[in-house]
Order: sequence, then structure tokens, then C-alpha cells
Amino acid sequence: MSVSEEYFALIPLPAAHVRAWGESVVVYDERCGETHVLQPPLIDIFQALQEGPMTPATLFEYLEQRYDATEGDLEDAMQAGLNQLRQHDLIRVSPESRDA
Amino acid sequence: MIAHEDLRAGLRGAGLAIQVGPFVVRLRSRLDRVERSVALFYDRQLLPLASAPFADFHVTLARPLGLRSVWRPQARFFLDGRSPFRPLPLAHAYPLFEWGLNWCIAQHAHDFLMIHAAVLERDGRALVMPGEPGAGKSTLTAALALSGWRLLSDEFALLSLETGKLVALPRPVSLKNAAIDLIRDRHPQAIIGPSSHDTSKGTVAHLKPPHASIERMHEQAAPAWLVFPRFAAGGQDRLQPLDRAEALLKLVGSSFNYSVVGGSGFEAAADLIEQSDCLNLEYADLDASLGLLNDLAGGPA
Repeated sequence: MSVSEEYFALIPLPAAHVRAWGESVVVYDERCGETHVLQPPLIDIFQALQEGPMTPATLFEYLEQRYDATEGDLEDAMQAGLNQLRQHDLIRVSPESRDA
Repeated sequence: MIAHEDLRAGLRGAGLAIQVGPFVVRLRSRLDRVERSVALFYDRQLLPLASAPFADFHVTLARPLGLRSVWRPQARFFLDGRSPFRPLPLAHAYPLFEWGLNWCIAQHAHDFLMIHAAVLERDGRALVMPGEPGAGKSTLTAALALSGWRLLSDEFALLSLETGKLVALPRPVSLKNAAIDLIRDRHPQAIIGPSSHDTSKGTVAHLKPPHASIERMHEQAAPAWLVFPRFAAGGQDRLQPLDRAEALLKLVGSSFNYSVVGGSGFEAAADLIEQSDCLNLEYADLDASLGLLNDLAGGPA
């Protein structure tokens, strides 16, 4: 059986265009010339996705280890963060196909 | 140094070549007040007439033709024979040259990230001070330049996209309104040109850069301090740390060509932030703020 599950991936960015400074990550997007300043919890999502594409479930697990929050609050924060990254056009959402 | 007759002949003939940091400006003008100001401010930056170096900017300052010029004399700025601005009163001919030169550089010098900021240096370390109009930047710059700091620029920070260092652009410091007498009183030896009244910036007078700033114009300086001054009358002078991300946004917001130079501009700006202490300066009293800035560099020069 083939299961299709969405996953999130960062757009490719040159390392020199991503700077982590204290509580902020600054990202320069060469495609549009925009400079974005990301702050928690957005930077946690961004940094998680820097390690590679993640499904919502794996991303949630990653955040759960870092935040002392209820499941509902964390889910809301994650969705808000993902929406923001989508608005900045910094992530791609793709279907993932794998054999189960 | 060239003789005054040669200066006049050059201005009225093929043009005087002036070395302004990394740029050569070829200037032609028959206006006496331009001639006097160039002789006063740029005498050490004139290139020999015999040599005909490549010029980055071919500038002419002239009186427009027509009846109007008889009863209301004006000066017009030309770059490569084209005039990008409206003429100004003849009395503002020299400020028009300086403002026009700002425009030339801002339009063309994309080997640099250009920032509306003053730059000074001590011991190879550069202080970059972006500032909104009225922030007190030029007053601080003049006072620092006259007390041991090397002036790289009053208006334009040129951050090399190649080296990541600040490149000098030694030009007269534009003093406005009360700052003119303030600097004149504190530094009687300073060379300050005649005042131009009723300009768009009020009364303007230019301060000649100290000799060392001109002689060392080809020495770059590494960024060390990024300070955003804000004049606050009656306030308390203080330096406060500024978050790096916020400093970056303020820095690129003061740039003339951040959107033009793309990723290399971001990299240069971000590298500058990482190499610098980023600070806000609340500035109320000149001596107190000078003390704070001197302390950054280890005390008075």
C-alpha cells in the first residue's frame, strides 16, 4: 500500500545568507531580495528543518522536546510558525510517497 | 598642490581631476564660488593637470542660460552633459556640487554597499554611525575628526563587497545650522568655508577634513563599532547595546543600494554586524557623547 504524507522542507539557502544571532535568525532570500528576521518559536521550526525535511509529526516531536507547553498550544504555535514560513516562501510543502 | 592659476585654468578648460577616495571626479566650472571652494577644500586632492586619468564622473557646474539667470542667478549640475536636478540659487553652487556628487556615487558605486553613515577610524578600527537627519551625526563626526579620529566619510560609508572593510571617501563635512558655530568655537583651527543660507537643509557650511584623513585616503579600516546616534535634547548621554538583528535591519535601511547589490550586500552587512559592537547612542551633550565614543577606543585620542 502506498501512503502519501505531506512534509515540509526549507528552500535551499546559501549558508552565508542565514545568520543565527542570539534569539534571532536572519535570513536573506536572494530570489526576492527580502531580509527576514525569525524569532522563537519560528527559529526552532526553521532550525529543525535545516536538519532536513520533516513531517508534521516529526516536527512536533522536535518542538515537544524543547517547549514545556500543552499539546494544543504547541500544535497551534507550530501551525502558526509554518504558516509564517510559508508566507515568507521559505518552505516547500510536498507529498511524500513511501511504501508501507 | 597646484598653483591657483592652474586650478582656474583646469576648471575652465578640460576640467580638474579630483581624487575622492576610490573615485576620480573631473570637474569643470566657470563659477567663482565653486573655484574658491575647490581651492579651499580639495587642494590636496587635485591630480596633476598633465596627467589625464580616467574619471569616474564628469561633472560641470554652470549658470543656466536664459533671461531668468539675469535677475535670479542660478547654478546647475551636469553629469556627462545631462542635468539630473533642478538648478539652485547661485549662492548654493558649492553645496550643489557636494549633493550632486553624493547622487553620482549613490547611482554608480555598486562595488560597495553604500550606507548613509559617517565613518571614523582609530588604530585600524572603524566606527560606523548611520543617522537620520537631525541625529547629530555630522556634529559628532566633525568633533571626532578634529580630536584624533581619522575621518573616512561624513555621509557615505563605503563597505567594500570584496574586502568587507570601510573605504575612505574624504570630503568636507557638511555642518548645518547651530553646529557651524559650535564646531568653530570649539576648534578655532578648523577650516570651515563660507555659510550658504536658506538651503533645503537650512544654513550649511563645510569643514575641511584634516590632512591625515586625506593623506591616508587609500587605507581601508575594519569595522569595529556600529553606533546609531539619536539626538535627545535634555536627555542623558548613554550607549546601549543593540540586538544584532535589529542593528542589521537599521543598517540596511540606511543603505542606498542594498536592493541593488543582492546577496553580496547582505553578506557584507551581516559580516559587519558580526565584527562590530552594535550600540544605540542617546546624545544630548557633545562632550559627554564624545567621552563615550572615545572610551570605546580606549580613551581620548
